[in-house]
Amino acid sequence: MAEILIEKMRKEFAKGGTVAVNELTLHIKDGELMVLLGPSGCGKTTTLNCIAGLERPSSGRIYFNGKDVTNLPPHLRNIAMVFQSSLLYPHLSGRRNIEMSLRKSRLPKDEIQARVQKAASLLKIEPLLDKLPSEMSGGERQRVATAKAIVREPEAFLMDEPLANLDAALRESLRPELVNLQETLGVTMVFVTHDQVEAMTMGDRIAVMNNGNLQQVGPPEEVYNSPANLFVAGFVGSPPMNFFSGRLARTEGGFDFIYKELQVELSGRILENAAKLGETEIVLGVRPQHLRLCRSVQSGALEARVFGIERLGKEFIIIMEHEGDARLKAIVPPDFTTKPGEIVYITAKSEQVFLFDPKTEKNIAFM
Amino acid sequence: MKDVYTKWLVIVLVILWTVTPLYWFLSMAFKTPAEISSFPPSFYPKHPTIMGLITVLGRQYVSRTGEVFLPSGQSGQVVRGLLNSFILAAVVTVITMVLVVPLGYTFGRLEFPHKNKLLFALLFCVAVPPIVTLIPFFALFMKLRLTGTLLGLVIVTLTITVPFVTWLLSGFFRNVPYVERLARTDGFSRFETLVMIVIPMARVGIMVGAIVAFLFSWNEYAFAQILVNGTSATTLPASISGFLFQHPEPEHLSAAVLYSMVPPFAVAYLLQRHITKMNIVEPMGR
Amino acid sequence: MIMRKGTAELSDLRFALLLTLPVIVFMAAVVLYPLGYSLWLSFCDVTFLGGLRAVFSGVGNYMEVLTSPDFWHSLWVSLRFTVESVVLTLAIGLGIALVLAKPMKYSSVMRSVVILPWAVSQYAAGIMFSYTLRGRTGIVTALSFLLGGNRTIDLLSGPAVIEVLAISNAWNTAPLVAFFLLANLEVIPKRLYDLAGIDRLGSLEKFTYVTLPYLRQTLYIFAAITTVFSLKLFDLVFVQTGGGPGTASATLTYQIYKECFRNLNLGYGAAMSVCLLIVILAATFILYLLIGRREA
Repeated sequence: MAEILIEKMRKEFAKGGTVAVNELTLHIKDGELMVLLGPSGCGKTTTLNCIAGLERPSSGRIYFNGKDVTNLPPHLRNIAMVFQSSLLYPHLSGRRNIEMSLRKSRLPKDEIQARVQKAASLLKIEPLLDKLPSEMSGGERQRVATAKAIVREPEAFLMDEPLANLDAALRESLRPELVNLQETLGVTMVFVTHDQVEAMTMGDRIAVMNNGNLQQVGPPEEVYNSPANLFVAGFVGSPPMNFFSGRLARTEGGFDFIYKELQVELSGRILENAAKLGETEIVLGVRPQHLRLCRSVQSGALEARVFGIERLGKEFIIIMEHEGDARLKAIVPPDFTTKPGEIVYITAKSEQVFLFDPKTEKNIAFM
Repeated sequence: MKDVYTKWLVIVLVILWTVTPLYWFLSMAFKTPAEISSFPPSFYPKHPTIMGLITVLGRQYVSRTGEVFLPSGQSGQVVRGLLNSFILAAVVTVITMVLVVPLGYTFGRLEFPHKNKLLFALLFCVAVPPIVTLIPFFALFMKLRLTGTLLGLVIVTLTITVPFVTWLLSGFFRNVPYVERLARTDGFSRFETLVMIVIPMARVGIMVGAIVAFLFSWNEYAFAQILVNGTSATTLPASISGFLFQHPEPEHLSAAVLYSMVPPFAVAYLLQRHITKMNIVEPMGR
Repeated sequence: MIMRKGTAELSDLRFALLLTLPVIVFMAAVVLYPLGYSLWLSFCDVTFLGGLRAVFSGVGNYMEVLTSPDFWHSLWVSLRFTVESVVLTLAIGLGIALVLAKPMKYSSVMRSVVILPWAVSQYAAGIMFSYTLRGRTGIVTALSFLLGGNRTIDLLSGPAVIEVLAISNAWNTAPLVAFFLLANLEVIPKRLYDLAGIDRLGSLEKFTYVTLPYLRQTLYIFAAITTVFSLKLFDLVFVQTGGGPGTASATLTYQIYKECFRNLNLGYGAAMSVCLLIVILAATFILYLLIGRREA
């Protein structure tokens, strides 16, 4: 199996044009499921295409198990790829589609048949082998595309949003299947998605990208619990993190974060780093489940007007407006009663907040 | 009820519009010379006969009443024209498709500098009237002694079919799903991808392109009329015009035109099924 | 295909060149070279004494063309024919498309019948219409006698001969337009008509507010295509009317034919053909401006 090392890779499509991927260095371990996560146009698919050999980096190198493959065409890299929306040859049956993966392999015919059979039974797609892609459902196409990828017994699976364009229920049921398959085969997998839930649930590690730049790499819980910067903090997590642009103010005991009426007393590691910065502009981030809502005036609480309530059963999401600022979201237990138009008061606890430097956008915990 | 009547009324109108000229003219092929020269003209053949269809092909025809009809004077040219038209159309279609498939693929799917300029040049070729192309070809062929030869006619006919069919096909290729990357990861070279994957996927478009190339060369008249009319390289359209300007024999003319319409009508079903898959409205995308 | 192991595949540009360079060179040879040759001839006196001889004569041919009343008459005929052809072809094509769009039994048979005129060659259409509309053998005469008249009615010798030609042309080309419009009609979401129904639009309003916007692009493109094809049309006029009666239907293409291949005035004809090309380019350019502006 393969360990993939991307070293200082840069890709621009036209000389001097926009930079799709900028000086990316990423080490994907053998047998790991690495998710490339980011909004559209962030360079994640370009990165995947470069790993596959479909595109050539403008500079930088790519190594498979220490071997430089930067200039190798796709079929000499021993990878398999599943394309967006599980692309298949529309004029070929499921079986012929899968066989095409081995057409250039010089394997004997019966070996090819055996492998197709094995992949088909592993993915339970025997009934689909004689159907055309147009006669399959989205989920069925996805399975056939996966079977097409595994028959080659590749060192690495590359998946470009294979679950996009499927309905939510199907996506949820296919996710653990793909993870299970990857673990069974013990193969390295690079999985591209813009869906942070998909990334969190599937990845051994997540590489978050934005505007061609790598933002953070780490296991899902690390990316979630200590986001490296504003972008990662805002992109990972649902509903997204709430941000307040305020300032640091020195107090007798240490530092407070101040934004309008909102006042958060800082403590622990954050306080140490805040102390180094001194009184300055700062961005405070709080995840929705960590916002405390109160229906009576409190000192240090921000006043906001309830705009809407999403009742999810086990919890409610309260959407609030604050003087025309961006909307705030809070997750509260279902016993919290309110209705649109009411005024609530928001507070946050020191150990549950993040602080970001507004200029560098970095999480100050990483200082 | 009223809606049903108007629906049938318009359907009948469309059929009448389509069929009347065909019927009026082609029914003459089944009339006797006497009936054709009678006045006022009759609406249908009163004594239907296949005399015209037989004698125009150079055979003698004896009617049931024992009347003998000699072969048409133009029949030599018609038979030769029929044969030459088949040769011309087949050769032009094959050459056109060999030239046009890679061209259509290139314009439809690849990105390269000056592509739009080349496409405009191509559309310009479609817009050049054949009569304009004919002037230099006429002069050149006089020098090269290519007037009155099928070779010359094949060359000029390609100037019509190649640009037009390229236009049709590049639009079609553009709408074929983008499987090139899939094919590359499967280890196919670009050329193999084109031949083994994209062309089979585009077979409907290629078939329609070939039909159109066949129709255009089968129906081509201006070049044939000027370059090969009256020679041994005559084509069916050119030989038919011989009827027009020499001695009008409407039943023979009609029979010859009827023969000339058999291949086009034979492919009409395929055309109506697939012609709109040719994306001529946006050959280069928006 | 030459491809060494370990090298990347051909770029788009190199592959494009490999595939098309031979074809483009060939096309340049059979289209551009003759066009250039034609342009050169238009500046020459061409004679056929003992083979073709061309002697440079400057802009003489062009002066002759531009001062010839025949040229201006033919230009007028061509333009009138073209405008009428475009209007008739689009209108009839739209009409046929709307009829074909109605659900009916045997629609495949119906469509196969309706496309027939497009498969008919121009010269055959010309012959058919000349026999169908002419006085001696025409359907109009037959009908008039059927209804008790006693006159032959000849549509080809009347003052409306250009209109008759435009109708013949529309008969020939409208099916193609109809099929592309039909393809467009079939992608209009049926729900839009339900919505229009809720908004209480009448059938004419439904047509203008729901149907027509979907057809606009196709109509524009076919307006351009029909314009070019009507300006370059030759076979139909040549066969159906021979430019007559007199010179009433002598389009530019017919005039060029007459000068070049009957009067063997190749230089003069070449000059006229260059003028025709300019007219075609100008017409497409004007249409492009009109459509481009509307689309933007």
